[in-house]
Amino acid sequence: MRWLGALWGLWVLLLAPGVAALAPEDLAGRWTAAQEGALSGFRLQPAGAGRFRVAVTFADGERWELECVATGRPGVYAASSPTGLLDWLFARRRGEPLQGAPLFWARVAEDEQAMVLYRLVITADGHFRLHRLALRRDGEGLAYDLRILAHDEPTRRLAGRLVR
Amino acid sequence: MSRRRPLLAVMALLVLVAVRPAAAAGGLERLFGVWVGYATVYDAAGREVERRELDVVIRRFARRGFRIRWTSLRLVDGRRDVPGVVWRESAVAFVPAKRGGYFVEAPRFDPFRKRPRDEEPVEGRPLRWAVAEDHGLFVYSFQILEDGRFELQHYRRWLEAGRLRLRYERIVDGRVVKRIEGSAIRVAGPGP
Repeated sequence: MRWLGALWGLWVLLLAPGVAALAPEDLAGRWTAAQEGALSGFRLQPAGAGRFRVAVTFADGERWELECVATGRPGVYAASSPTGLLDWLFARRRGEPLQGAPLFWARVAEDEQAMVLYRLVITADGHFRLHRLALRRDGEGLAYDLRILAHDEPTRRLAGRLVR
Repeated sequence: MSRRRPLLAVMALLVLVAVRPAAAAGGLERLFGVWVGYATVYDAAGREVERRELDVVIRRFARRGFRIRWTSLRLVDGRRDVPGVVWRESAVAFVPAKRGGYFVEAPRFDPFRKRPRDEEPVEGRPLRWAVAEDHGLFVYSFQILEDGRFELQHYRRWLEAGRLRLRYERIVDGRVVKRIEGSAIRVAGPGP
């Protein structure tokens, strides 16, 4: 009888609404700031299996625009590799912060039911700036939590909400 | 007069080249030497977890770089001669980055090792770099973990009233999970 109880428990767990796997497509669409905050806009567009395009606009005018592709690691996405002839000739690869190229990556955070975008930049004086932007569905909107870590500075944390 | 102009230009260039490493180092030489002291470890909640003995050796490496070696000894009830003590040693060498204003980890020669430089940072290759400024030497180690979270370890070492002060933080995905603060005195000079 005990195994029947365990099977029933497993079935209930599988059906529970909170355990549905999050996918980047769940955030697809064009979102704008509900009120003044760190972000002024966010757009996610699926681009085929394991690919999506994302654009983030910050209130200070900074803008990220990139295409993400699934990596060999489950739930982890990287910016797509440069594919130009010059990139091939000069062995340019995606995200080499120590050579001045920003490093972008993203992951699906099941524990937070969020998608997290990251960007690491190391400037020519060795100072770094790392953005961690977590986005999750919040009713009809999109809640965000932005943390900015930087060289010799305390971590800044900003939160807000976007609407479709 | 016009004949001397190229000579002056070459001399000025030579002076600039000679001055460049010192400018990039930002007073790094002041930290060279052998230092011994204590460090206190704090957990994510800021609670004191343990006390360690600390040795730090900072020396010149490959003309314009530097090498830093540190050992820590986790004490048991303030003692180092009883079972349970833990000794750890780490070392890393840095050379000036091609871009100029900072240092990158010096490549290590190991013919049997997989070539980590072929991996991309998003595949887990760690990035290590250092910045020498007037208010301290900053050493960073950054890595993207298997699940896509990141780990950033950073050390700041600086001089204060003749002592070497140390502050270390281990940050996982934006949260400080460990902090170490320490202080040491110099027991030997820069060395060879």
